[in-house]
Order: sequence, then structure tokens, then C-alpha cells
Amino acid sequence: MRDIELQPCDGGPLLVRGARVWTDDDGNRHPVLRPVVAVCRCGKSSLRPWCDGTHKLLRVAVALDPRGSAS
Amino acid sequence: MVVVAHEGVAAASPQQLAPRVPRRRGALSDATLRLLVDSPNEVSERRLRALATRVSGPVLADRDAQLTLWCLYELQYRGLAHVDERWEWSPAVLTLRGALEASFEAELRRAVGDLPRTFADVSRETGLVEAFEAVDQALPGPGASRYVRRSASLAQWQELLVSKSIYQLKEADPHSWAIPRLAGDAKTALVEIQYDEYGAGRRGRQHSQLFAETMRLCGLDPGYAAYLDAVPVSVLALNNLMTMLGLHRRLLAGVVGHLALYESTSCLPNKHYAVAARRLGVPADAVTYFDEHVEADAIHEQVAVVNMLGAHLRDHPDDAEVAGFGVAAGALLDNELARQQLACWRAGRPFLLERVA
Ligand code: FES
Repeated sequence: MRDIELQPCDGGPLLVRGARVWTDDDGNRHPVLRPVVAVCRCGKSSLRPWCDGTHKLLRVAVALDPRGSAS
Repeated sequence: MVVVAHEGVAAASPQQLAPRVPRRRGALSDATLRLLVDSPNEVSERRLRALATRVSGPVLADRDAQLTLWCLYELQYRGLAHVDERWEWSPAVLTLRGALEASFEAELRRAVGDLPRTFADVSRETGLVEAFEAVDQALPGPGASRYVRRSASLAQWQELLVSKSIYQLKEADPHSWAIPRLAGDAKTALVEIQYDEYGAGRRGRQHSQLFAETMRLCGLDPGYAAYLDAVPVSVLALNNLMTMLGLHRRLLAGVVGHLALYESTSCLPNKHYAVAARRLGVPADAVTYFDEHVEADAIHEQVAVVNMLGAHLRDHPDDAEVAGFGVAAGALLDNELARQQLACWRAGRPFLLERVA
């Protein structure tokens, strides 16, 4: 198993490096096709589980989900 | 109107070719390009130096001057078809280029005024995200991507692609000049972004290749700089800005700032473009480029602003104003282009200088 590195971004997504699959909160497994991916933590992305930049439009800071689960 | 994929050239190969010498020229570009079709020699070099002494006055909105600069810069990328490669390092070429650059940079610095200092102050006192917001507030975009999403016609959509193509067909290249000049965490972050831009090891997935395929599927010539004759000065100026920032080590933080600007302002416009493409009924594969950019730029924005520019300014705090110059000048020229496009499109006029499809 490779090391997975997580980098939370202020008010934005969680950057995930080194994962092959991302498992969302409902247990769905999403293949990871790039070396680093941004996982949405604001819940508003239309590309979930990935961030699509929508968090920047949120006027009120929403509570960010601190994690998903990687495998 | 029905879009038919461009069949003149296969998608994979034309990008390899050096662009041909442009047809639509003015006095300076004409004189320069006539000299460059000969091999380097003393007479031509003397004439190029003489041209340099005649560069005076504003160049920012002068298509002839910007086209000349673009062609001289292209010698550093892929060269021009039938132009001797040795011109790349000819002192006379560099003298002419330097004269154009000096006017260009001075005009840009006047136009952005105090914004680079504001960017530096805000980034130090509050944070980088807020520094970008300060530039955005001072230079708000005209909302061209929202217009494209809702209202652009197919012809306007094609004009948008052609306007973007001068950069997008060499996407990421101007910022790659920074790689050997950076050190430490900022370099790691830049290469992480560029690796993705260049396809992350997957054949055919370079963003420039995806863009070429999008052009082809939208009935346009995907050849590198194929539409050089059609683009107005605002397109040439914003391309020249990137290369100027990239090629001058004293402006290193500027090209880093410029990349961070691009990565942090492209996610939402690309979303609008994807909607527009679907609304206009272009082939589904032509939308891939925009979908890819929504996802990629959401990642790149964080890496570019925090890991790259943030790390560079942590290691070189005195560079913040130069970074601010790259950011502000980039925003200024992007907005100028968008404003001109919107004005033409709203008035039902073409933006480009030639019909493209
Ligand atoms: S965190 Fe970016 S869209 Fe949700």
C-alpha cells in the first residue's frame, strides 16, 4: 500500500496524493486517475466527490467535512 | 449551423510544426520578418538594430509591434517555418526584442499602478487568497464567460476558441521557463501542476492536445498558431506578457504569480464554457477539454496559490511585488480581451480580423 498524503486547504478541498481509489461517505469507490486529486469538502460540487471550485462562490463559510476515506 | 470536424489536418501531428510566417503584418513586423527569412548576416543584423532604435511610443495596443514581439518570442519556442534557427540567439534580434519589451513593460507598469504593491501588502498582512481578491476587485472581469454560457452563437464560440488557441495550443509552456529558476517547495509544486498539464504520463492527454481536438471537432484548424493572422492585438499582448515574464529571470515571481492567477480564475469560466458547448450541440468529445479543466484547475488552484506561490514568497518575501505585477498585468490584459470580445459580440460584429469558419 502506498503512502497517501492529505492536505486540507483553507475553505476549500482536501488534496489527496498517492491514492488509487477514493471511497466517499456512502461507501462508493471512485478510481483516482491523477497523481493528486481535490476532494470536495463543502458538499456543493457538481463533480463530487471531486471539487469543482464551487466552494469559492459560497458567501457563508460552510462547515467542511474534515475527511472522506481513502483506500 | 452544423459543425463539421475540421478535416484538413490530422489532430495529432500539426502541433509539432513551426508556425508559418504571418501574412497580415504592419511596417515593423514586415521589415523584421523580411530580414529573418535570410540566414543571419551582418547586413541584416545591422538593419535589425536600426529597427530597434526606431521603436518608440506605445506598443501595448499596437498590433504591428505585438506581432513582431510574438514572432521574436516564437524563436524561443518552436521557431518560425523557414526561418534560420540561429536567429534565436542573434544579438540583433535580442536588441530589437529588448526595445519592444522595454516599452511593453513600462506601459504595463503604468497601467497597473499601485496594484503590485497592494498585492504585496495584502499578501503579507492578510494572505495570498485575499491578495488575489484585492486585484480582482480593482480589475473586475466583464463576465465574458457568463455571456458565452448563455448567449454565444456558434460563430462566436468558434471565435472564442480561436482567440484562446494562440495560448492554449502551447498551454503551460510559458510558465515552464520558471522550472529551472525555482528551488525548493515552489519548484515541486510547479512541476506537479505542469505534469498534469502535459498529460500526467498519458499519451494524447496534454491539455494542448485536448484543446487541438476540441478545435478540430468544432470545425477549426487545430494547427499551432494557425490563426495568427486572425487574432487582434489584445490576444497577442496577453501571450507576449506570459513569455516576457517567463523569459526574464528578474520577473520570475511574476510568471509564478501569473500561473497562480490563471489556475485560480479558470475553474468557473471553464464550467460556463462546458455548458455553452453542450447548449450549442458541439460533439461531446469537444467538451472534454472544458470538463477536464474544471476538475484539474480546482486542484491546480490550491497547488499554485498555496504550495507554489506561497512557498516562493515564504522563501523570497521581497518578491511579492514582482508576483503582484504578474498577477495584475495578467488580469488587466485578460479583461481587456474579454471586454473587446463582449463589445463586438453584443453588437453582432465579429471579434476576429478574418473569418475563420
Ligand atoms: S470544496 Fe471545492 S467545490 Fe466543494
